[in-house]
Amino acid sequence: MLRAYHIEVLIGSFQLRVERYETKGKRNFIMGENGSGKSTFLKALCGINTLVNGSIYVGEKRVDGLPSWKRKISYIPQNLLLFPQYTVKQNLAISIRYGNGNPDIYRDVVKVMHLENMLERSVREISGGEAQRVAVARALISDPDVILMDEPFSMQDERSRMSLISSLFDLIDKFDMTYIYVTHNSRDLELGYDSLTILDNGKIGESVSSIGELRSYRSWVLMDYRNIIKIGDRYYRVNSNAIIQDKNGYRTACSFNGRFYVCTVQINGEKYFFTSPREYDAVTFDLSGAQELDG
Amino acid sequence: MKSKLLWIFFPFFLLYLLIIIVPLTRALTYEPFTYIMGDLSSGILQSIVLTYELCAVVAVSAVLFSLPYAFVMSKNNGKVYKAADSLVEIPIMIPHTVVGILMLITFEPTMPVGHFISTYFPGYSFDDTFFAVFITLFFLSSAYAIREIGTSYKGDIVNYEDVAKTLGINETTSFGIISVRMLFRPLLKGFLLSWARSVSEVGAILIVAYYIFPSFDKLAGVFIYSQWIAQGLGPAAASSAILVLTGIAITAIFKVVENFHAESIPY
Repeated sequence: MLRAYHIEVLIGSFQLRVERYETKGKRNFIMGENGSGKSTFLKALCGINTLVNGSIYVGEKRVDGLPSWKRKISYIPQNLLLFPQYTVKQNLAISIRYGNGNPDIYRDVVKVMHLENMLERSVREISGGEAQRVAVARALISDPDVILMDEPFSMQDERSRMSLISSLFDLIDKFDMTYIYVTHNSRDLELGYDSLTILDNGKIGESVSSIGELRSYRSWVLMDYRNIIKIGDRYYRVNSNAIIQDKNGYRTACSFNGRFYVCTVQINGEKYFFTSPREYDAVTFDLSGAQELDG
Repeated sequence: MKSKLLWIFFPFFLLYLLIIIVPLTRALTYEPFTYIMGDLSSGILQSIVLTYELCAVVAVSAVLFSLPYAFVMSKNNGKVYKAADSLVEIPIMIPHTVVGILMLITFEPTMPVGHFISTYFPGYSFDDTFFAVFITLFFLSSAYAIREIGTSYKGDIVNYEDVAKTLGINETTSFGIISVRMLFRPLLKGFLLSWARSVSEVGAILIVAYYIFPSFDKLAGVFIYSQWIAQGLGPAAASSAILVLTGIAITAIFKVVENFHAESIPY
């Protein structure tokens, strides 16, 4: 649905260069460390950030030359940016009144997202969780082809966040929209996705359909920093069978978290973490069964 | 237990307040109340009304220029625009008498710009006119409105406008229904700052418009200065008391309106 080629954005000294990005199916995730360019990329797609180079297509329509209000790409920022001078209802209906919002979606969304009782309230009077629902509903009502979500639920606790995301995904599926969801929390992936893209230092590191396809050390660290070690100049994912107690090995310190031990091992001056059912004070690794990762 | 730093800083806090409050109190109490009331017939009231009205026109103009200025600056980060932006504060640092001179050598009918204007407006003159007062006060005070409004718009409000645009709302409508409404408080504050700066101006006005022809009215600052020169400290202090009182009243009204708006909208 959304394709982007040779994207180049310059924000101060930061440069984003994305050679090729394509959504696959409806559910598309982007992950990356802080400062990797996730927000810059989303803002470039929806027209908030100006492209130095590149082309963007929604379906077969090229949209990079269009202003943001003609792209049909809605953007939900991390800080939501509900319009403070308006009520919840006015926020939700703003695209119907002034743009091409869809009243049918408005009615559906208000019901499904349980917004009926807060419609007349000021957006300053609603809770953080309610504000997040309103921000998402506002974007849905504008009837876009693509919704970009820049960690809109990052301030929620784990359980509420998963519940909100799950409801949201059901809703977006219902209206047949494509979305790109930016997160730095790998737990969000448990809700299912069609594509996962890793952004690293302004570039796409990898784009895969399942975590198992990830090849890069930097991508894996985003998923789970544990059980990844570097020996020599190579990175490995190790399982508990690869960890061997050896009093002449790397010094290790473990603490029990109630379910398993989390151990810190120092290798060539760098600290790495692994989980284990038992405690160690020094280890070596049998790398014959370990997965080698790209650096 | 009170903070140790609070005990150290509190005397400075108090001293600052005293530096502000004592001269104001002196202005209000230097002459007896009956004397101040008697001074109302000296012409100071008409002068204050004229000053406030003229300065309001200047401040409204500054605010009107601030909106497009803020919009253009928020969309452009190039070096040329940054260099242009740094010009805004220059009028603040120029001594006010120098500003008066700058205005004369720019807008007098014998000077290039003044000559250009006079070709389209026969009979055009500059010194001692409303235009001279307006352009001089605008030069001196517009930076306050430009900065207040520009900072609010570029710093935060433009982000709301950007989100509105991704909801399918066009640029003009987004600016109107999102930004301008959110800018109400900065607009009010920018107006008040420009207005107050204009009211306080004397140095440049003494040079470009000691009187305003044909009425021979003087702006309040000049009026009180001429009172001091011609009649001494007593009448000038009484007129100052009236100016200070009216100034406090108007500032208070603005603060009430600003706070009332802040309670309903956080901008």
